[in-house]
Amino acid sequence: MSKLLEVTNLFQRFNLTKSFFDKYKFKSGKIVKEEKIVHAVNGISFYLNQGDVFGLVGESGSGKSTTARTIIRLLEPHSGTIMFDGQDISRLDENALRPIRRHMQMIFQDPYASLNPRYKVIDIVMEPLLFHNKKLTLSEAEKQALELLERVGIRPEQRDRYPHQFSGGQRQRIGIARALAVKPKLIIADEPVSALDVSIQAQILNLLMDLKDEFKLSFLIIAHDLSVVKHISDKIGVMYLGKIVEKANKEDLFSAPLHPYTKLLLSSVPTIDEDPLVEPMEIIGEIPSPINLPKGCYFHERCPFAKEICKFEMPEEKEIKTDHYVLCHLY
Amino acid sequence: MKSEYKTLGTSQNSLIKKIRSSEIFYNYKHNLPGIIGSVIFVVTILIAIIGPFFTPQNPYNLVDISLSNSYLPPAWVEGGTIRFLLGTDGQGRDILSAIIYGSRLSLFISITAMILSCTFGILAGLIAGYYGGKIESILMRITDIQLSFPATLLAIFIMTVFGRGVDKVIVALVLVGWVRYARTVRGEVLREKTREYVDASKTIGLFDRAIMFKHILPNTLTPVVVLSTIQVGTFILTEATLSFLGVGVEITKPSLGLLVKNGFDVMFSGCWWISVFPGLYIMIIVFGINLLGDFLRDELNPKLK
Amino acid sequence: MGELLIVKNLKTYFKTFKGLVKSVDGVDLTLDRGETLGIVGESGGGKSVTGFSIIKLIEEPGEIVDGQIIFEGEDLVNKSEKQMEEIRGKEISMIFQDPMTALNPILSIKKQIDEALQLHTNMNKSERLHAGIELLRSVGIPNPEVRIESFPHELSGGMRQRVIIAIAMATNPKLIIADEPTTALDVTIQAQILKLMKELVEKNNNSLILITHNLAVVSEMTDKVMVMYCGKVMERGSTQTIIRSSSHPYTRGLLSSIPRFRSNRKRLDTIEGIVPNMYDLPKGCYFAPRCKYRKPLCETEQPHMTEITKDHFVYCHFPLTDGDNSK
Repeated sequence: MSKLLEVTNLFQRFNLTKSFFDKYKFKSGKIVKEEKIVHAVNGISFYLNQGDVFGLVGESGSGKSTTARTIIRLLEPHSGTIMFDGQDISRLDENALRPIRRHMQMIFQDPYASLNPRYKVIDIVMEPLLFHNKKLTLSEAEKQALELLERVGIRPEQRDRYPHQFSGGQRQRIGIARALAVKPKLIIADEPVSALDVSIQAQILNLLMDLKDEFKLSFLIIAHDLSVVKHISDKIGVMYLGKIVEKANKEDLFSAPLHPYTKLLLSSVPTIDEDPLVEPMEIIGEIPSPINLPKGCYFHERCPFAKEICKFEMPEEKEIKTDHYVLCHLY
Repeated sequence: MKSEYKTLGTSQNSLIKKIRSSEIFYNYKHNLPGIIGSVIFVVTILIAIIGPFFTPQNPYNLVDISLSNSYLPPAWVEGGTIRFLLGTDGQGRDILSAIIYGSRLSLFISITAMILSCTFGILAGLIAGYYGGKIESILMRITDIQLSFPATLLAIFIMTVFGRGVDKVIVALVLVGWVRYARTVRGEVLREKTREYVDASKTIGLFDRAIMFKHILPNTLTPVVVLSTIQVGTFILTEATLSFLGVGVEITKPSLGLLVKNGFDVMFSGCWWISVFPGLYIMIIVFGINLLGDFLRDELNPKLK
Repeated sequence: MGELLIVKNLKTYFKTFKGLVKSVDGVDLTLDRGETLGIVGESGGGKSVTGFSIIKLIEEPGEIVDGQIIFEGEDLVNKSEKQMEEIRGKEISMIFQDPMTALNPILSIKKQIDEALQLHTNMNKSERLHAGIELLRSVGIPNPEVRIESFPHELSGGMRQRVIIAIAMATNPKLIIADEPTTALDVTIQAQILKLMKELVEKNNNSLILITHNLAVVSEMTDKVMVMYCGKVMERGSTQTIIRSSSHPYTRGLLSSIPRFRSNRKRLDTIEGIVPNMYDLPKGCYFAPRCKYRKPLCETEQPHMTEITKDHFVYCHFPLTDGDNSK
């Protein structure tokens, strides 16, 4: 089983003070150089086999969206490697990336912004088809696009409509059709259902699961809601402030979560009338700023189990059980 | 009542149907200033196009005019004739015909200048906004510098250097007018650039040119439409000012502004109609354009659904 | 009786160029002092408009066309804007959905709390400052004496929402209407904010109307629930009843499409289809096209509200009476 995607020690940062005038400031009578850098992704590693669904979960500030955008090379990584289908794509330029892009597509979070409001729906799906297959005639492309739209639940009569004439869930389906158009191997879904009502979320998740089998896809799903990734993922990684704090198979993660942050996430999700998976945890504070990373373990200030060592030393990733990794001094 | 609106939601084949059932048309029907403005605008354009076929004389044709008809007052004043409804000027030119021909020239200059400055401005704004970095800095500094001069002054300066003439006026107006477009479009591009459909285009692998022109550009055009309407009005006034100051169009083929100048010298000695009527007409055109521009600006403003 | 709010047959319609939208079409509800009510439904169901109608913040092209909103014995529908200004912010306050935009970005937190207190109390300036600091403390903002000087953009989303709650509670209103207060927040922050709201409301015996699309949130927070769809109430009753043994197919659908941690279902149950176009609602029961229990009658005739058990009302021709939601 070959690895379709392997990310090794990925770092990503954003310099908020790029220009000369931003860097140098007046402070107590002297000119001081002060750089503000957002440390979005701080050394993460994971991999995906063909046919896997990997769920990357975290709250805002965890760096998960930045990870997704870096992997799909909307951004160039600061350091680390991204191996896609055996090829190192971390540093390739746009021209070299272009032919590879068709194998790796993305579904975006905001159904209102991810479709060009001036494009008819049929054109949105036809564009990638025509771009990547120069031999395709217009009518063939149209036929394929209509089939795709129908497969995701958009009726052919609606082909000439514009995005604003559809609901959020339907727009998300159109985005999925667009991603499928070029028959990619990997689809990265960046919070594909967070902007949708709960009942529509279920529809879209079911659709993704069906499409995965039908089109032989692999998925990297980014979400902030553990319950969303639960049904669809095989493996899950939990992110906090740019690090993966726990990585495991779905069953292991939910039956025996190890990292205190994972437990915190699980206890925060509102549930209906069930025995909670973990005891309710006292939730203190908020995620620290990625501009000033805390010393030691990033989570220690909020961790109910924090020890002395957690304040000074970043833990090493340890494999506690088969394929179950955790970044924590408690283990 | 409801049946009138049932056409919505089904695929529209007819453009007219689409416009008639659109929200803009609905608001337009109830917006008196908008209606007035657009009527004025359309009427002035029509007058400019077909008016010359109905005028009693062609004021640009030296054969047609005769000094014996000079300084005749408007028809309703004693001494005037029906033939020269609004009177004549010092050369014997019929004021009404001169206004019609002059408006044709003024509108031609303004609309041409608008189209050209729009094109250059959009290109500059697109490239600056999309690529950012040095290109953007340079272009934006140029616009900053240019905007710190009063446009009219700049135009006067250019014209003094180049000399009089319709083509030179257009060039001056374009050099002055592209800046607004560039800044507006750049602002829109900066906003659209961050939207996810642009990211989607990149992940598909589209070339920059395609992303800029096929995806981003159509979404930046709304303020451009509003700006263009207002620019036509601005250009009419600027051209009028230039001609009035003697650095605009040639004397033989007067635009509205030049007509005002022609009558200025004799205005206080009794022949008021030579300046006043062209001046009024300029006002009416610009007023109509402004009303239309206001309506479009309010209408095309993306409202929260 | 202690009934704080009685809403009878509320109708709020919007006249748009596309036609008439009946956003709220005959809603009844009652709320006692200290009770919490959850209004649940999908986007466009009318739940936010109901909230805005109660506090009379409906603007053109919307209008309350019928019904009564009896608050402490007086009908708010008849009250003028000036009279409502006495009530808004003092007796009834609102917490809005988006913490990013609900605060004025150019005013400091201090000024914004001060403004609320100045309008509705007789405190002098230093009393207001003191009260403001205590309010921030009560919503769990650390170092409130320092934080009160901050501007909204200096605070995180969770902090901002706490400030908004503080402002809403500044005058200890009898009724608080919270419109999707945690939808824009992360899950852990959401849990904190909901816990905070629950504590405050219990402590001060305020009544709360919580508007959300998430039934799970409602199950943890409220005494009563009202489920809305296309402007009509589909079901209402105590939270326990609705969650454990709802009788309306729509409520059941909503409940079953919530992912559960313990179940190992392969596919999530969904409600097929999409919310109908509000300009072109179905004849008969609005939910019929999506209902897996529909019968011919449902497609031709609107249902009636029936009382299944005490205080449990269902708007359905064939309410589900098997009394058990666990499937």
